[in-house]
Amino acid sequence: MAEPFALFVLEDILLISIQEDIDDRDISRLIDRSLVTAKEKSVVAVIIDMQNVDVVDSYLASNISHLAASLSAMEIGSLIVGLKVPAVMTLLDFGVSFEHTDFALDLEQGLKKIGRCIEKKDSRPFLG
Amino acid sequence: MKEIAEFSPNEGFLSEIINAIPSGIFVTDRENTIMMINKAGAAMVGRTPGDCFDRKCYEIFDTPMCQTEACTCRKAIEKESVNTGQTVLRLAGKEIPIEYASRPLRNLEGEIIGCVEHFIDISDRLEKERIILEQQEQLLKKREEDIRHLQDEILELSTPVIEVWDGILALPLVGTLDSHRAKIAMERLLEAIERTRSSFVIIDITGVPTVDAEVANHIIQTIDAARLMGSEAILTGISPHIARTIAKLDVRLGDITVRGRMTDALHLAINALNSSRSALDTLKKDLGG
Repeated sequence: MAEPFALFVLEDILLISIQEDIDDRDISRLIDRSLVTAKEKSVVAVIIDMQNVDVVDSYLASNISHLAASLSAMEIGSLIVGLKVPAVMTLLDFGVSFEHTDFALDLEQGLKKIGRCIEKKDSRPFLG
Repeated sequence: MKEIAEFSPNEGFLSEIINAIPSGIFVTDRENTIMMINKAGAAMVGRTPGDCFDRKCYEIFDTPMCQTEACTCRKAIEKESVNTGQTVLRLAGKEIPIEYASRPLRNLEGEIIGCVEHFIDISDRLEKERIILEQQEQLLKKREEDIRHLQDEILELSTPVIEVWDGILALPLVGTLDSHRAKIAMERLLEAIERTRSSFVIIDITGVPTVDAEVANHIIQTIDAARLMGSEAILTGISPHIARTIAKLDVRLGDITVRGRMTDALHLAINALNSSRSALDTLKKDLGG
């Protein structure tokens, strides 16, 4: 069965794409594999693409926040892209703090944001 | 008893007058025996005064309070004063709403010998009152609808989201912000961000007269929401008065970009947009160079 998430490494960037039907077991597998891959490939930034996720539950929210905090501890910046309006409203209601991460509208804007940081010779962007 | 007997039905001018009155009047003694009744009173239950004379009033008139503690004659006699109220008169399976007034009747020596009861059919009046009430309710409902409509209109007017530049939205807030308005403004802003894919949002509060802790939190929540969407919010138009309030309230403004004027915010956003290049471009350049 296809996994409800996918990891891609583009040069210095790890791209994580999350699908709608991700369940709690998949989430913890996603966190583990993301952290391991980020370390192995020594990436500078991780982009988490949420544009296919309409509904965010508290478990997913706290785990994404946890992933961002872990990446920050490994000196890797993280960027969440493509959050939808209902998801944003839910996240605000949950009050999950995303201190260690930045946000962008979509993948393209996310890459631009990282590009801006790299241009400024800041090789480790978005550290909380 | 003599005094009542003197006014027996069909006798004298006074009884003519009493019979001419269009509402019901009857007199009972202390044992509820009808001593006298006028034509209108008897006609209300389809009788003539002659039928009713010397019979118990509860045999002639059937109401829920007859032969109970609530009997108006009994009450009037007990209180030694006027007793009024409303009830229904049951007649041939129908209920006629009536209003009554009773007063104890005294003889020349001043002792209570019975009771005078006056009653009128109020079906028409109740019907009219019902219609008036209905109309009032309709009016109120219509007014409420109008007010709600106006409120919606004001909300619509007061939270415009403007595209001022490619990728830059402006949300000028005018007037007092309550939770409801703040929520609507936030939703509309988020929808606009998603639709226009704008990476900057300028929230201008020049038109907000005062800020309290609640309003400040609404603004901060809107900025947080924009950040989660991936758009950077710039707050402008903080008046000296509001600045003082914010300082006093100890609101965290540290991680919020603030500019004095909308112009400064536009400059900041446009410069940032012009300087932004994709990470892939940078990488390509790095690889090429």
